[in-house]
Order: sequence, then C-alpha cells, then structure tokens
Amino acid sequence: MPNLVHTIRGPIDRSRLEMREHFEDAPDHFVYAIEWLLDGEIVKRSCEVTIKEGHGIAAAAAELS
Amino acid sequence: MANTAGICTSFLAELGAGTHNMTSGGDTLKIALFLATASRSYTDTTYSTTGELAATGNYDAGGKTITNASWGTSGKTAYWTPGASVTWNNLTSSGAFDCALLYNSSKSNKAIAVFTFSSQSVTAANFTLNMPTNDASNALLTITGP
Repeated sequence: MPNLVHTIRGPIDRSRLEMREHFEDAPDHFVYAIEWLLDGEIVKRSCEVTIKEGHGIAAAAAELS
Repeated sequence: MANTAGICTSFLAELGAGTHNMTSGGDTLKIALFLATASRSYTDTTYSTTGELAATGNYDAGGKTITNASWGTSGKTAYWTPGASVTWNNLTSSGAFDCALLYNSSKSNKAIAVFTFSSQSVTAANFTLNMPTNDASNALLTITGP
C-alpha cells in the first residue's frame, strides 16, 4: 500500500522523499517549516510563523512646568 | 525594496476619529501576504494589491478574514490580538514572502499594521500565521499611555 504525499509534482510515495525540518527563533517571531525533497528539489514545504511580539505605540510623558 | 513593519500612522489618527470597530462582532478585518520584494510600510494608508502574492496556488487576492476581538487593558496599556490564528490551506506561494498587512475591509480597506518575518516560500502545503499571547507585553497591537 503506497504512502503518498501530495507535492507540487503530484502524489509521490513517501519512501522517495527526504524530509527535513527548519526552525528559526528570531527576536519577534518563530518559524517552523517542513520541507520534502525529491532528488534535491523541494516539492512540498509547509510553514508556521508565530508572531512572538506585535507592534506597540508608547506615548511619552509630557513634563508640565 | 523591502517591507517595513509597524503600526500604520494613519490608523493611529483613525483611532482618534473613531473609524475602526475592532471588537468581537465588529468590522471585518483581513490579513494579506506580500512578497519579499514588495514595499509595504507603516506609512501605507490602505490595502494595495501591489506586491501581494499572486492569486494562484490557493491564495486569493485580499488575503484571509481574521477573527476580530475586543481590546483588553492592563495598567497604562490597551492591547489587541485576533481571536485565532489564520491558515492558508494547500498553498503554493507565487514567490518568497515576508510580510503580512492587517487591514479593515469594512472601512475602505484602511491599513492597520504591517508585520514582517523572515522570507518564506510555501509549496503544496499549509501556511499558518500564529498570533502572539494576548497580553499587554506581547499582543499584536499595544498602545501605552504616558
């Protein structure tokens, strides 16, 4: 029973594919991606980007005298 | 060119004018993805298709609707984060992208904020944009008084 992975090149048996994971921990976001390669070519790549910290506006205090 | 992150200056002015209804059940807010070669910026005033991912590979122009949510407050800070992450299913991106623009499609597509991340490509798979913890320190948008 073939274990097919749907790729940009169509369904390909998983045994023919190399899988590799990619992690990146940046200051304001985190990336987790899974790549599937067929003979060195990326034929499927999923990705999650997690925003760790959004954007903020901080008002400065006015000094009244 | 490059995309430049930040809360859109026009959005700050529109907050004062009461333009946006950012609360659960309020305006329809959307988020769109832009190529790494685009030039989106906090100076944007409205959503633009220029530099957006092409409407191919299960990406639709204009991006995805996100779950609007209510603002919270803590100390001197008001904060807001969408109620859920957003996922593009079985996406094949038309190129490398590193930017998401949040905008208000109920209010003439007025721009809210630009978010950037490391350049990514997605091929025949899902892309998920997870939201930060919704608190005064990490929320997607925070505004802090003096």
